[in-house]
Amino acid sequence: MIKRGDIELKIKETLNERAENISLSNEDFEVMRRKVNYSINSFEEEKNMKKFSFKKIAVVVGAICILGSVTAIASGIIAGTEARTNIKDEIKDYEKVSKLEEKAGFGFDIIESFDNGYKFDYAVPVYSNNIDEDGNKTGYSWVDVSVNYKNEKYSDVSLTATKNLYEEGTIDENEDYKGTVINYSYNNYMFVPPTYELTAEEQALVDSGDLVVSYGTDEVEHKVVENVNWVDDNVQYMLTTFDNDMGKDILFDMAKEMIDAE
Amino acid sequence: MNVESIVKRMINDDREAFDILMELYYKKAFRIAYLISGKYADSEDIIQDAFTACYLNRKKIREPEYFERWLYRIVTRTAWDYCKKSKREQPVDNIFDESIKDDRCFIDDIIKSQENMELYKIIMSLPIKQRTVIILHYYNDMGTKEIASITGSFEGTVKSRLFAGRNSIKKELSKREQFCKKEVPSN
Repeated sequence: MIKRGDIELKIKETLNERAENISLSNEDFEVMRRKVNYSINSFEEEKNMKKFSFKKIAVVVGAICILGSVTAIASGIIAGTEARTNIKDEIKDYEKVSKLEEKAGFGFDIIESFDNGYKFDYAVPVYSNNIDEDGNKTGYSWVDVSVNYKNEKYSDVSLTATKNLYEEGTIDENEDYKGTVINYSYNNYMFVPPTYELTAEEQALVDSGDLVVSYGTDEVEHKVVENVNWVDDNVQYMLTTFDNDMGKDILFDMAKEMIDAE
Repeated sequence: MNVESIVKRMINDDREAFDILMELYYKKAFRIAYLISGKYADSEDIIQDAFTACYLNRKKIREPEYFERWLYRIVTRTAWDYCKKSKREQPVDNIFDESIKDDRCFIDDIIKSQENMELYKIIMSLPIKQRTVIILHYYNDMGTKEIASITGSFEGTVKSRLFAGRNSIKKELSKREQFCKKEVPSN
């Protein structure tokens, strides 16, 4: 008859022998460590891309949609554009912003500060691609440059430089400044979660062009978005701001300062 | 080395601290994964997933002094998921490269390591949760309370599984002993 004590000793001995016979080298550990760190980095990069400054990205997307269609591509009907940035690409030093020219694939001119007190805060590349009605990427992607400016008195202003020239869309006002046309638009935006369904009233406002809807935030938010844009040397520049009390004249002045600096 | 302080550093996003913890617990965690799953290749994936989950959920650690228990909980649950996916509830026939002759006499002919191999085969044939309790108790020297915390069960359940697992092993060993006695001709 097998005694309990014997059984327990045998079980312990068996498991120990089985486990300790597995050879695990330093190299095995290093391989595992690299794979684990890679998984973690990939996960965190994905998380950063989705959360960073979504509203501003959305406005770039929205501005693109407002401004009109992009160059048609072969694989499908363009239903919209998606854009994303990565917080790891953020450049806080104005002197280093020129590095983004390589990522974007084009040269651009920006200034460090404006007379009205707006100062350079950070710059990031914006990765964009078109999507079809089913939300699939349609194969056309590009990189824009986005620069954030801060002011003690007013809301932030975002400058986007893009090589992806768009046809003119809704324009509320424009001005010819030294041969460069500056267009101004004013829009009511609604930022909504990805699964949000528009009410009939909201859809009617979208259809009439009185409301722009942008998907991807956690909650529903309404913002007034103002934008001035112009083209210089085949690069389109857009200054965008949300719920800003400063008035459109200040945006025009900022555009003129940039045109003068180029 | 103060593990608790290293864990606290990891909780505060210190990746170097996490690397240290991985190195400290890699071999032991791997062996637990191997004993539960029975497969070396699966164990590599289990450990990789477990350590990744460990770091990504680091903010949930409430008691850094019990990090080891927390880690083994993740390893155990991940191993269970893998076993479920590959349906390894009865992995007996796939474990060993060498063939085992079932009709060999257990007591008379098999050398020590082969005895252990047979016993391991019996352990691996247990239902996965019973097997896990046996492994954590006899290989990791854990008490029933600690095992309950790791497996997410009541202590009473752990005791039952330990009792049932031990009994199944004993019964199977006795069966084989009886089988050998019948086969040996009496002179």
